[in-house]
Amino acid sequence: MRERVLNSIGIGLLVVCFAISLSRILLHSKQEADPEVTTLRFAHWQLESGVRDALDAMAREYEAQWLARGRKVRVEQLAIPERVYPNWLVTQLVGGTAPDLIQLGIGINDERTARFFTPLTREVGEPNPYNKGTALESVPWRETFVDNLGSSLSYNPQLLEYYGIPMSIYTIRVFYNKALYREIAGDAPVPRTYEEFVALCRRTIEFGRAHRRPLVPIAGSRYNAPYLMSDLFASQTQRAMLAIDRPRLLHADDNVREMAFIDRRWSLHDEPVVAGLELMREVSGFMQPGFLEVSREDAAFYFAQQRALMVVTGSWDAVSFRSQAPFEIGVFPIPLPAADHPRYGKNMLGPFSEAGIGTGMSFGLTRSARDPLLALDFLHYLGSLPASRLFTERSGWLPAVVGVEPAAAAEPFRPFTEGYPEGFSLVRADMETARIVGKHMYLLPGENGLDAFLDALGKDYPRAVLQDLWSSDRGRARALIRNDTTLTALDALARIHPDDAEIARKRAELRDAQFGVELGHERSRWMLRERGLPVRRE
Amino acid sequence: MTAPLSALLGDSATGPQSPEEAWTAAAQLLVQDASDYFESAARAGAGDPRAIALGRATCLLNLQPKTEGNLRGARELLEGVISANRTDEPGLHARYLLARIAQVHAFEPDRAAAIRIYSELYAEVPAHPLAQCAIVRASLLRLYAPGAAEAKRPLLAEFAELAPRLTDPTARRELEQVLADAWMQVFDSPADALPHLLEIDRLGLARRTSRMDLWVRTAEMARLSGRTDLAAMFYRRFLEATPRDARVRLVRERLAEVEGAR
Repeated sequence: MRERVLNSIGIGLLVVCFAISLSRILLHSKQEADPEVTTLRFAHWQLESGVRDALDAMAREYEAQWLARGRKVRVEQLAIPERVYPNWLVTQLVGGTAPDLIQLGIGINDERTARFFTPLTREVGEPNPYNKGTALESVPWRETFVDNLGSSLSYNPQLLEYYGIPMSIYTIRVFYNKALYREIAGDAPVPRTYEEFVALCRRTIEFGRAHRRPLVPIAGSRYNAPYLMSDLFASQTQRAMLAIDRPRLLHADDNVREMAFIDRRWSLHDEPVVAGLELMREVSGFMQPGFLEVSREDAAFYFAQQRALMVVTGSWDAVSFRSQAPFEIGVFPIPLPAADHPRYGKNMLGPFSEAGIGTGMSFGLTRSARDPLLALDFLHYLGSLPASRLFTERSGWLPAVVGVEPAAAAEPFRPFTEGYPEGFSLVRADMETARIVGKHMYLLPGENGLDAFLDALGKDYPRAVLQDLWSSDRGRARALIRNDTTLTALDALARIHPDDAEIARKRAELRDAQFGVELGHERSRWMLRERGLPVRRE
Repeated sequence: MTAPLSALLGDSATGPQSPEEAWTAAAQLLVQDASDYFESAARAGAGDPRAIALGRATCLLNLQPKTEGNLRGARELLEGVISANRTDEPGLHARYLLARIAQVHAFEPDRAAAIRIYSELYAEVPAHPLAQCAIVRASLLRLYAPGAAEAKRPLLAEFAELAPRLTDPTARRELEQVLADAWMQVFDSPADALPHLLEIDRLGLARRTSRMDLWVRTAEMARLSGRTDLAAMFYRRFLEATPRDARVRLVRERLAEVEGAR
């Protein structure tokens, strides 16, 4: 009898689910089939709460504007989980069923960009019609974005075309639990220097002990911890960066750091490097044990469950944290040592500038768009000043358009532009140096951790630097090979259209880039040979 | 409210239908599409056979997977183009590409062969932009051939003499880049690098980011060489053109420093 009831419930649920699915499909088909309505679809992977609501509000506003002009337009938002986004995207693109606008980034390479997306170079050189009546009315669209569309998601340096229109920029901050902070520190202002930050961390530990609460100062993970640790390390190599800056560019460059290391112009035992590692070691002691083994989600849980006072992450997490955490959240910049710090101040230039941060959350226009002119029009709307204002107000994310003030919730994330370049890092992202530093990192928080870490790293680091240099050279060689075909093709097109300014621009830019790569490639290999080192893996 | 879209909105699925479309595809890294067109044109005997052969060879250099067979095929096609006429436009391009194969594309690069082809090209048609581009690449290969740094000084003197003879602005600028870079990176000599950086600036760089870097670099080299007026001029130029760059504050401080020293 019980089994029969359970089976009936199961079958009933199946029937209900089927009916709901069927009705949704029929409704969707009916909407799609309505000849009076033009449907636009755009896809992205930003599942953070607030962002979808903001995009939805923008879509409704856009529909209303068209309705007022006598045309029925329906905008459909497709939020695809990041994990399945690349596979979903490729299937849609290859199958010819891609949405009109797609967020660029994961799952997109140069060839897919060229094949499936429409270049926007001409369009970004002209004013955006949706900026009419604003201060940006007569400004070329490209110049209405805070980075002049300089990010690789907007301008593809291989294809020499603009493809993406961005919505936001991101900064990294320390998030803290305001109520818990008041319990621990009372009315004291949030830390502004590293010294004050360390004092707060120690006070948090004492508070946890005194109240028998499982509490750590910082929720760490293999995702979050590097944001804090790499900034602290780079604060100590700011002056060292200038000392090894032979090309005199006044900023950190992986190749310059690597060649300077090979040349013994800096070493792991130099005072600034050791000081940077000391800072990393100290803060690692303020995170939960085993933090390097846990994921981003684990750190978020730790923080949301009030087992940590702080977590270090990007502005993209702000709205999700605020909606999920059962407490008020505050935000402050990562505190670096003060310039007058007796141990760490002398290695520094000062706080980091965030002026060079590029834009993100960029949308591209697919070649398979059913109504490409309308899709471009919607892109114009998304990248306009009024829409950017609506986006920041609803999402709490920073705007990408100049002249748009961040919403109150986004204000603590406003980029700090009055600072200095960062110092050099110990690693090249996602390369061998990063792997071996990660491998030995567990030693750092332990007893005599700094010495143990330096001993272990010292054995692997020189070889890893060499491997990173080889890898960089392989990348240069690949670029040279690829660009030879592109340059020959542009030469052929220039012979067909000798007065075409756009072809001339592309040739000039690519030749600039190509020769820079070629020069660096030849010099790097000569320098390795001269030092008796192999120029590639043997 | 809508704006005109670029002509490239057409259906990319059909593939190139003309040499121009094939070259456009190749310029967009759609090398297989371009190759398909050139190969079918060659089979059909359509168009100028030397131009089609040049297109086929160019595509073979980048078809995936890269194979010895493709490289050999490209060499044979280019040699065919050259055999008909070695000094007209297709002939010069084919010779230049042969040098590129030897230098960049071959599984075992032959730098000596590349230098020889580049140098012959320049010797035969020294006024041609491609030949001037070739001699710059030969110079680069000679400079960074195995050998101690001090042995490179006579080469730098030779290149400094060659530079004013290059009439193509891009080739001239590239040779100045070779000189400036060597003085900076190999000899760490700001005073020697500075005149070449000024020449690069006079000739101009196409990319905005390259120009910004050039101005910072020139200002720094001028400062280190005691040329404070020049340093101030380039620091100012950078600041006027670059409101949004992490180096702005540092450059402002450097500018104040050199202005105080004047």
